[in-house]
Amino acid sequence: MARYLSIALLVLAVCGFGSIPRSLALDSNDAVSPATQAGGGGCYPVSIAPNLLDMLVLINPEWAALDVGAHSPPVSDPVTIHGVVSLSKINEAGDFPSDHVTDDQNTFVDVDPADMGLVATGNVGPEGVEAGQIELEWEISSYPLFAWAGKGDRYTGTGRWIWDCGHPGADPAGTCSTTASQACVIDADCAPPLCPACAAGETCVGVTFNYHSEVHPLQAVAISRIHGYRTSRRVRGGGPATRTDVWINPDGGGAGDVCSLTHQANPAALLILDCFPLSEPLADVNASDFAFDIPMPPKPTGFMTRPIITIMDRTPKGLPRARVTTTFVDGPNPIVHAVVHMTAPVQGQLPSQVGKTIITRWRADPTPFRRVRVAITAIEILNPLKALTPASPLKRRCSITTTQDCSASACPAGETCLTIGGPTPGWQVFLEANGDWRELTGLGAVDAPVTIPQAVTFDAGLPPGDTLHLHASGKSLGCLESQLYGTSLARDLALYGLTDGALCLADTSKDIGSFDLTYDDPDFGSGGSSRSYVTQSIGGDGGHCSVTTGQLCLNNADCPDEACVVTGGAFKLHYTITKLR
Amino acid sequence: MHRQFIWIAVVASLAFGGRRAAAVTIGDLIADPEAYDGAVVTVTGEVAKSLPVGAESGFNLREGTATITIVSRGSAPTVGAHLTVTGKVRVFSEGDEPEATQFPPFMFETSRAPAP
Repeated sequence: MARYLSIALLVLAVCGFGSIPRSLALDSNDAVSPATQAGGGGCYPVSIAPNLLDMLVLINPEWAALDVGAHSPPVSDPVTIHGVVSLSKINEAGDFPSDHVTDDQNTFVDVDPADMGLVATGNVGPEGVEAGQIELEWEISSYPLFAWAGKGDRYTGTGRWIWDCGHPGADPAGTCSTTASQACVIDADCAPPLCPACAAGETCVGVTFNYHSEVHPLQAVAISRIHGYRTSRRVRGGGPATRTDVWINPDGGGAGDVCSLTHQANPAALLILDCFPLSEPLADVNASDFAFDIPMPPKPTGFMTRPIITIMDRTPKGLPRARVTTTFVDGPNPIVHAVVHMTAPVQGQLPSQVGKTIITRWRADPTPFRRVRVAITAIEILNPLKALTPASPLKRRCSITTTQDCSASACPAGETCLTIGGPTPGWQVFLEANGDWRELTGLGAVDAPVTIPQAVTFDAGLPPGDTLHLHASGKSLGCLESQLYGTSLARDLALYGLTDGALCLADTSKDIGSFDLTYDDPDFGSGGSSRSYVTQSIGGDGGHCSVTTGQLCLNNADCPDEACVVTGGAFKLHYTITKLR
Repeated sequence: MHRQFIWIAVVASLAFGGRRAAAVTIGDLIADPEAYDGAVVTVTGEVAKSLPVGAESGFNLREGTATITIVSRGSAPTVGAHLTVTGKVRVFSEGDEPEATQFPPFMFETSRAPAP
């Protein structure tokens, strides 16, 4: 692992990867060029002084194909990107709900030099994530946990190459063509009322957009992790090996659906558009095979043998199990080239959703390794991060006859009585150990301080020089995430009304604080045998009232005539690390 | 940063007393929205855009070059009307930093009257 990373870092250093000049990347201004916008493509920025009603243009569409080639928008061919994972998490602050079925899982990858042509100036510049990184997103409901990545993993992902239209990042802004003292983003900024002094016909010139290029959604991923693994579907610690988890799925959620991605001539049409249930996936996973390279663990000195390769199927029950072929390529950095045959029918049926786990190791590798068990025994929620007064008032409405209050009278036959607004209990927390992800259970009803027992166990194999990385990604759910995902703006307006709908939309999830720890060789936190920890999250939302300090709060409204003093640290994790070998 | 905003909001809310809406200009509000988040304020301007949504409405109120969106449980006002609107200011963002979208501030109307 350490050797592999060192080689990767050396390559990156030689290529100047950490400081890629902007001129080498795609120009993010292309996202709004007339050529890109032709035929319904491209992105649409908002004014330098936008108001809420303007914001619809940012999701019209929210993601635009970066290169449609011979197709017409929104259709485009997928791209494949390679790199090393720097961060993997959920979208902790939530997504725009009317074009998502669920939250996105977000993976940030340091892109290989050979794929730098897929990275835009906006990814690199002042509005970027990190120089040379690209973000890859896939809705959680389309992407099972076994194939989520961890920091340092080797990543191969195929998906839709897009401009992230929701984040124009006009920085620096432009100036009006004649009235140069007037800053602008769009031409309308160079006319009254925003610019009373501007002459008729002035345009906005010189603006620099920082739209990010992304791969969103994915349709196929292969995640290779070099630690210590046994040959088993479930992650179990063993000797040095590469575990490669593969997931292929044509379902990309809202970001992969024709209806959600079609530009509307009048953005107001988005208020009456209803794409749910999604029915027009763009991805064709059978158009080509999915190929990727698996790096081998460091080869023991003097070894001349070929690797042992074990392939385990993770395809959902009843679906065709695509064939996988592998080829060992020896050399200074030996790899196994793998191909998942998505173009070949299996018993007359083409594969659709496909899962695989591939373990590659050197035969009889004598390299010593440690094996530790991390047992998560409880999550202690210190502050549930729930406002005393719900953002949107509690209402009950019939599912079809949406104007009918069903708390007063029963709904017509065939309809259900929906509860909308009101308190939004619940947390969502995902936890990983070296890229092995689990979701904590029993958090759906959280609305008060509580300790919830957990029975999550990680079994990690750790060769010399390796580290044990424990990392959580989660949130306290707001009204937006509890109630609005997977429904159109049209239905939200019908059910909630404009005011209560806006109140719910503005009630996004709350930050539960960071939990991100690394335990090093030689004991990896076990203290030589077994050690228990209670670790509080750092930062995030919530605290206590300024005078009534025993009173928890989320915001000032929770502390009448006082202030909410933000302390963060909304939860503690209880866990034990035990050395097994 | 976050804590700073909280304290600004606290000071603002204490200054406004939470009892009587403070009169502010739309320009002030747009220039420093976090300072007013959660506060009840009164603004005056001209209706620039008006969108009926069922029995409710959303409309833009403009004062000079500054504009704010008002979300109202009432009917849509006429474009060009001069109104004084009282309501609660909301500021929110969506998505994780550094890619978060900061939405422009808006107000939930509690009352409106023709401007004097």
